[in-house]
Amino acid sequence: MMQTVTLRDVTKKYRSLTILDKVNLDIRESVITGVVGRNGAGKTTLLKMIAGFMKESSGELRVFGERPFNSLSVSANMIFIDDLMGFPDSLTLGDILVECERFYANWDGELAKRLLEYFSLPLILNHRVLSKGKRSTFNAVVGIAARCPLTMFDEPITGMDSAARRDFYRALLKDYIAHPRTILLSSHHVEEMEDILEDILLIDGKGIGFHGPITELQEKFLLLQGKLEVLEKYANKYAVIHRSSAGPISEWIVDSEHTEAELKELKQAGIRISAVSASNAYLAMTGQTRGGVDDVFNAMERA
Amino acid sequence: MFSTQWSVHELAKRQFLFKFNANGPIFTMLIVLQIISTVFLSGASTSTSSYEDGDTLLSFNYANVSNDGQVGLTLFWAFIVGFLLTSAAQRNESFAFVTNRLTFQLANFYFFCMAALFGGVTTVLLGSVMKIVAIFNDNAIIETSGLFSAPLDFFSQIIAMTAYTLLLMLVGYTLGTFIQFSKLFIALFALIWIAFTQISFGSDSNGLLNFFYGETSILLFILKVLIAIALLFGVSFWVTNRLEVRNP
Repeated sequence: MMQTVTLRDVTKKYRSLTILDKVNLDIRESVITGVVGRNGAGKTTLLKMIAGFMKESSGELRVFGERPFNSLSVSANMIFIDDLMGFPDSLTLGDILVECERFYANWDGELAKRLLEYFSLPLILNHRVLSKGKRSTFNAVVGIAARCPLTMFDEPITGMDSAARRDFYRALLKDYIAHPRTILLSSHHVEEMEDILEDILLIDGKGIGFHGPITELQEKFLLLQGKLEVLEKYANKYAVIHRSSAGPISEWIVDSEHTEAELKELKQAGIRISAVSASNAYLAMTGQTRGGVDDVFNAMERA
Repeated sequence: MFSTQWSVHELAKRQFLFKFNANGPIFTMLIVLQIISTVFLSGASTSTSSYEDGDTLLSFNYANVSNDGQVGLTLFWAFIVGFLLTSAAQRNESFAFVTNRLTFQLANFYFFCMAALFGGVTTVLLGSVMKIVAIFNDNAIIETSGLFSAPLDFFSQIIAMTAYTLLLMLVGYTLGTFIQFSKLFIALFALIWIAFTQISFGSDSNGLLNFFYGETSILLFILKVLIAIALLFGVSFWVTNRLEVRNP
C-alpha cells in the first residue's frame, strides 16, 4: 500500500524547546488515523508540519513524496481544519463555499449546502458571528466537502454539542466510505471516535508512543476484575497501571505481558479477564489514569 | 501521485480573485476617505495681490485650487493597505485555501497593482471634482491641464499617482512583513524614520524623497519606481518565504 505521509528522524524545535524529537512515521493511503496525546504533546505541531504550515527543524518529511513546506501540490491536495481557521469577515458562509469551489478540485458544493442546511447554518450568515460550536461545525463541513486526498482535522469537535459531534463523525465516515482518502483526526475524546478509526497514532514524550491498528493498542492491556485480596495475591507480578474499585469488586488495568498458563491461573482464582476499551488503553498509555493530580493535593495536606 | 496540480500563475490568479472578493471594504474605505477630504478640503485658498502700474493701482485676487489633500490621503491609505495585507488574519485567510508563499506574495502584488490603479485614477479625477467645486464656489476662471486641453499631462498625472500609490503600498507591505517576522523591527524602523526625517526634511532638494520627487522625466521616474518596487518585492518575499503560518 502507498504511503501518504512519511517522516524520517523529523525534529521540530521552537527556540531551544524540542517539541518533536526524531519522529519516524508512515501513514498509509486511505486510512483514517486518530491522532491522540496529552495537551502540548505535539499533535498540532505534527499536523501543521505535514500541512506545510510549519517547517521541520531537521529530518526528512514527505507528503505524497514531496516536501510540504511551500509545496503547491501538497497544498492543493490537502486541507487542514482547525478552530483557528480564518475566513474573511466580509464574506458570508455562502461566499466562502464559492471560494472553496475555486480552490478544491474535488469540492462537492451540493453536499456542503445540504450538510449546512442539516446543521441549520444559513448561508447568509457571516463566519464571524457564528458561535464556537457552529463555527467548528462549519469548518468540519468544509473539511468533508473538500474531499482532499489528505484531510486533517485538528480537534474539530471543539464546542460542538454531543448531537453535532455524533453527526459529524457519522458524516465523515459515510463520505469516507463513498470517497476513500487519508484522514488524520486529532481529538481528546477517543471514546467518541474509536468506532470510525482504523489506526491510532499516540504522541507521547516528544515522539510516537504507539502507532498501529486500534485493536493492537487494546491488546497491550488487560482488565482484571475480582476481589481486592484475590487480585493482590495473584496479579501482583504485573505492572498495574490503574486501580479502581466498585463495591466489593476491584478493577485493575495491567500490562498485557503474560503466558497462557498465567491466564489460566488467574481465571481459576476467580478473576475476570477482559479487554480494555480503546479509550482506557489510551489513558493507560499516557499515564492519565494514575490520579496524579490527587497526589499533588494529598501531598499538600500532609505538609 | 498528486490528483490535483496547479500552476503558480493559475493559483496566484485565484488567490488574487479571492483577495479581491474578501477585501471589498478596503476600496470602500478609500472612497469614504476621498469624500470626506473633498468635503473638508475643497474650496480654494484665495489671495489678494496688488501692484502699481504707473499711476494706476492694479489689484487682483487669485485662488489656488489643489487636490494635494486627497493625494496625501490616498498615499496614507496606500501605506495602511500595504501594512494591512501582512496581518496574521490575512495570512490565515489565504492559507485556509490552496497556496504557497510564492502565490501568496504574487496575489498580494496583483492586489496592490489593482488597488494602486484604482487609487491613482480616482485621485486624479477628484482634481476635476475640485475644479467644479471651485467654479461654483469662487466663480473663478480655471487655468489648468485637463483631459482635453492636455491629454498627455492628464495621463502622466494618473501614471505618476498610480506609481506613488503602488510604491507606498509596497513600502507598507515590506515594513509589515518585517514586523510580522519580529516585533523588534518596530524599534529599528522607528530609529530609521527619525534619522530619515532629520536628513531628508531638514534640507530640501536632496535625499531619498527628491530621488523620486525631483525627477523631471516621466520615463526615468517610472524606471526608478519600478526598480524600487522590485527591490521591495524581493526583500519582502525573502522574509515571507520563511514565515510559518496558521500559528495562534
